[in-house]
Amino acid sequence: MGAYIIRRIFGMLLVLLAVSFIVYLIFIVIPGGDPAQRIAGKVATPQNVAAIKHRLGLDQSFIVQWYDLVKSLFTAKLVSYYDGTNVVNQIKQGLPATFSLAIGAGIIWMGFGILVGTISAVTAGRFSDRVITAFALIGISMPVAWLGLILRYFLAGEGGAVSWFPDGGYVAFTSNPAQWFYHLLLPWFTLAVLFIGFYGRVLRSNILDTINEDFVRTAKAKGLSTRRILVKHVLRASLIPIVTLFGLDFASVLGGGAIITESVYNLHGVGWYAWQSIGTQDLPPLMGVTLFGAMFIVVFTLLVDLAYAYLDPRIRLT
Amino acid sequence: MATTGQEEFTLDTAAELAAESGAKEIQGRSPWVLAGRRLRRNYVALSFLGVFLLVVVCCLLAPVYSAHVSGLGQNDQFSGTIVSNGKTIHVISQGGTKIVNGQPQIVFGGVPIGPQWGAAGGKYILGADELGRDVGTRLLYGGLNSLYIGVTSAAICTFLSVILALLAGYFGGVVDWIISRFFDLIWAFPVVLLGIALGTALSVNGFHHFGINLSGSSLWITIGVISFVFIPYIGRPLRGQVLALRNREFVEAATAQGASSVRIMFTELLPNVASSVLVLFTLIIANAILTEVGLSYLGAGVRLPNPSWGTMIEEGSTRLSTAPQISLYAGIAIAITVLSINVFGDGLRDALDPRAKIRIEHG
Amino acid sequence: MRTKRGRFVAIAAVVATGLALVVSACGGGGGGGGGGSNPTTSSSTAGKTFPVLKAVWGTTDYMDPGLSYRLESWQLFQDTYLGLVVKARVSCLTDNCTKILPGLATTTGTVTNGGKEYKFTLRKGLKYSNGETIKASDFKNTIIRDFNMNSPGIGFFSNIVGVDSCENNPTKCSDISGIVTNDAAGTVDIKLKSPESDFLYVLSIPFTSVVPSSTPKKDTENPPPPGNGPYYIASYNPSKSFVMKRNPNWTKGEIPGIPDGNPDKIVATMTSDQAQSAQLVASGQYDYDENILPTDQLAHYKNKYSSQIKFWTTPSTYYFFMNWRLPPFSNLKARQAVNYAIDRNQLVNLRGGLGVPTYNFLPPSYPQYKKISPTPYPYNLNKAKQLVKQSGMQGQKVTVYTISDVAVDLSTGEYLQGQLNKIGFKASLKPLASANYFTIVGNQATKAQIGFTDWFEDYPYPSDWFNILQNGENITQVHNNNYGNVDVKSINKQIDTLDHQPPSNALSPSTNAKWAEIDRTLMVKYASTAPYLNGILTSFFSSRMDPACDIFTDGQDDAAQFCLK
Repeated sequence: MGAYIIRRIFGMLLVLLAVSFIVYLIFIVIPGGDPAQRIAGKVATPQNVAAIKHRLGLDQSFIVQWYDLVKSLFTAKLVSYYDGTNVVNQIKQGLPATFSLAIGAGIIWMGFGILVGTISAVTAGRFSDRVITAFALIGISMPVAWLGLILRYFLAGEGGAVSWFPDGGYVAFTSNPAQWFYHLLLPWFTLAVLFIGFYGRVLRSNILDTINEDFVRTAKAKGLSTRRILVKHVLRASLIPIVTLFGLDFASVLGGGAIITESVYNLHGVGWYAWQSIGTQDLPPLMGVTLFGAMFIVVFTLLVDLAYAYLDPRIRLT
Repeated sequence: MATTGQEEFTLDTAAELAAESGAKEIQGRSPWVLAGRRLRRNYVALSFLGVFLLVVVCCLLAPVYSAHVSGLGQNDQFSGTIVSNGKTIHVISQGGTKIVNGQPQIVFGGVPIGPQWGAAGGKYILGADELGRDVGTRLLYGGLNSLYIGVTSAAICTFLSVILALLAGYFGGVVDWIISRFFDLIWAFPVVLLGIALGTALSVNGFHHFGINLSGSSLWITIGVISFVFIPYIGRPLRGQVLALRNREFVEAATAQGASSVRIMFTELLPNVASSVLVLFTLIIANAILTEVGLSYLGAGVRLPNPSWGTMIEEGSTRLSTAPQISLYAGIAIAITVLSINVFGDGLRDALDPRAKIRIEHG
Repeated sequence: MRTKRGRFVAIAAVVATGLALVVSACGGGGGGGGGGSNPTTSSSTAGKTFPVLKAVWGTTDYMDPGLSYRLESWQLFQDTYLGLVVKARVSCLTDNCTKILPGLATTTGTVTNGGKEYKFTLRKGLKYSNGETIKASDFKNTIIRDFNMNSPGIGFFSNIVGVDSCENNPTKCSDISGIVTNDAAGTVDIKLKSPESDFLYVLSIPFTSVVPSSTPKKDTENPPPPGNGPYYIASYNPSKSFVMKRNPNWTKGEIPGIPDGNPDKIVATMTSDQAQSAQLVASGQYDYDENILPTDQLAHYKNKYSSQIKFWTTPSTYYFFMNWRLPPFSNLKARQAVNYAIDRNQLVNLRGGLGVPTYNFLPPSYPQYKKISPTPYPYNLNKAKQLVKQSGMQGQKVTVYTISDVAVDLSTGEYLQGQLNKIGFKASLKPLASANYFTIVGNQATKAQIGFTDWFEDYPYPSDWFNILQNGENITQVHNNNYGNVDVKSINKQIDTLDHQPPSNALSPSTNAKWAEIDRTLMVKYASTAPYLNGILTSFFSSRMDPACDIFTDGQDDAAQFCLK
């Protein structure tokens, strides 16, 4: 186990290194031209351009440029071209909103996803299953941006149908827990709809697959009750792929992947920060957030794998 | 049927069909024929295929609609008056400011007319946007762009993934390791984040590498970005399948007969994963359309003034209270289109490859 | 300065030449009537103090008077950073809001040497909010600091003697021989290369607001430099929030004409989301919305909160520039065609009605303004088509530049592109992020043919408009403000002459008429640009505030004077 963990962590570091290289390619190489000239921004005197060039080390070889990029991130020295603010600090400031959104939505989508998927599988072919399947399909077919806009406008907007919810924005948990919850309800729901639909469908088919597996037949042969089989054997086995999926999706949302939801509801989180930078074509924040999001996914993937290795003896540590 | 406890949980189309028609009848038929037969019985899937085709046909008829119904092109602005229900009305409500004793007296304006349905003789059936453009016309042209992006990027993505999966699965070893790590790498990025990162970086100066020259506002940038980010979503499951087939007898037989690697990959391996490819392709179209919406909404997708369903949602987002038609119908159109693809894709999967799954993520 | 919403900084380069404008003798320009009596705003607002004003503010570029070039921060700077002279903090509707009053100095300066030398003496005992004494040398160091930071304001100093080495190498600037200060006597002596008509105005804008010599020569972010007005900015979190508090070292009535202010503290959240900020004030969570009301919901807000909203005309002009150096707009007929092809009422509609159509370049608030009549370019597509045909530029490819991240500006660009297509050009749209839009457009290498731009006055004299924006002598390779490269030799000369008049003539009726004639000639004879509207701003208050206290000083409203009902 120890050797396995060390090997995996080493592998993870390699992936992170590769990820940073991809980010370097996307943001420094692809745009082409002279980035210093392009991004010098508002007071772009030749001195500024020279300073930016120097800061980015654009006269250096690509290995050095890449190294500088990674270093600027780890030493928290990466600054926005647009307003000179520190990217790492800005990401840190966005964490409370992003984590609040991710955790709440994660709980909702996991809970409802399991509930919906199980009901649907147990009643497979019956009316409730069909209704759930239909709703799940509609859920995964709606664009999140649109769902968010419509919900926000009709349920929360000044001049909309009703004003049951606050019109976007984020209130820190520490300043007012009730308002925090109230402000996040719609975003949670908006983000969760897609995942509930998807998880429900995946779980349903997993359960149906598992039911036909040998160990379930054995259990049945042993005379265990259907309910017991379902809960103790089928559901447990069917949830394993869901947990993998959840690890991935949850990490993605934690890392700023819920950028659409954050921007629709004006939650000043990590994704929102990235969104603001698109409009200004300000690449360093995008660079930072992309790397940050990828980091979360890589780390979570490792954690999930380690958890499996620990929980499920069938997985060989190769 | 389904009387025993064991079958209580199943909704396996194949098993049902097999039970109905008797196992003998099926023997010796090609799996494609079997799948076709299963699909033909899935009326829900077929009717949603019909819905999808209807959407496609409607969008293809955009030029006809523009010329003979609305009378306005996709980017044509109009700020005059029309006659609706016998009344003459401004397409854009007229406002302005007069300065009286140094104080501005303001009449608010700029609100586009809402849906006229049939009242204006085909004009502004779905209303106008802030520049007096016909929302109906733009919806159809926008659909054309969105569908084009969705289908093209799904096709490119599938093509690339299939090649990579075949190479990885067939050659194994170092090739497999490199390709698998490549999949892992892209997989490690949140889809939308990677999409906007690429979209924004590319929009700065366009793409000018490998002899390809695209301007920053080209539709192909969006297509390229979407095809790229979804590669591991098809590539990973396919690679596994190819890897499993690699050691089967028929491949070994072909190798023994001296068939070339390319030949084995395309004539022996590919046909065996073709059904999965088809299913995954269908599901990726749905995701590609939704991703286009996300990217365009965030400002890293289709560039104005060209309409797409995503840019229409974005454009209308600041005008929901006075002109909800701009965003509303585009969203409904997307939901219907994507839903029909998903339902049909489900049917296709049940018929061809019940285990094919795809992770979706576009929050 | 440019634009309310655009996130950008204009380089107001090359304000050269000119004559001394003896403001005290002539009064300023501007919308207000005479007034002129010593405005004693502080007494009129006495007893209206209240503990805290909660405001929603637009995001700004910097919170540093040496760096910021946006309305959002200049609005705060009028209460926090004062210069040797200040603009009167009075309403433009009832008073002369462009009048220059003594600020940190005891007078508006003694002008000698034919308008080439200004002498000021600092008031005694002035202190910054951090307790430091305000010294005469701080003024000089402020200007040097501007150079060291490559401030967008350094173009205003080009007429000061001895700035050449600083202009050539701003970051190395360490001395300006034309500014002589004496800390003991508290005197500031400024020598100019030639007389300059707008120099006192230059001394009233934030780039010359005095900060301590010890202020770091970079954006200090949080906290910003200590203040010297009735307030100081206690903390600032870029794009998020700021807190403004009373300056502990300010004695009431310290500088006549500068109100002591009503709120003890101003706490603001910053956002550029108009819908969001309006909603926060509508719900009563905040007292004042600095952003413009969302275009989409203007009518809704006006109906529901009519007594809590105020509208202000601003000395601003929104216009399309057309590049004289590139086809098709090197051709006069093509430029006239554009002027005929844009429906100014429709462009006002795009802003929800918040604007007044114009055919002049100079805004109507100027005494030099004379409405061009008859209407030079009534909306006429057929005429425009004909002109394009006559110009021989039919079918020419045209790229329309506009700002991508401000919805209204983007629509405006889309509108222009659509109209150009209607009159026979092949137009495409090039939306650019506002952060570097003007930098890109202002670079000759971009070869921008036509596009969106606007201008909000820095100070109320026409040279801020014609000399900076349309004098061909001031065209530069990069950071060009004359995006259209408008260059009419005879007009350039006239602009120069008007800036070189005897001081007493700077605001004489005949000078005013000459400025008006320049406006008319450029617009009618040369169709140099296509101006279309003068902007309107909004102020939105919560129900506990009394909008009557809200006065619109030169170009902005003054939060220090807000009061409760």
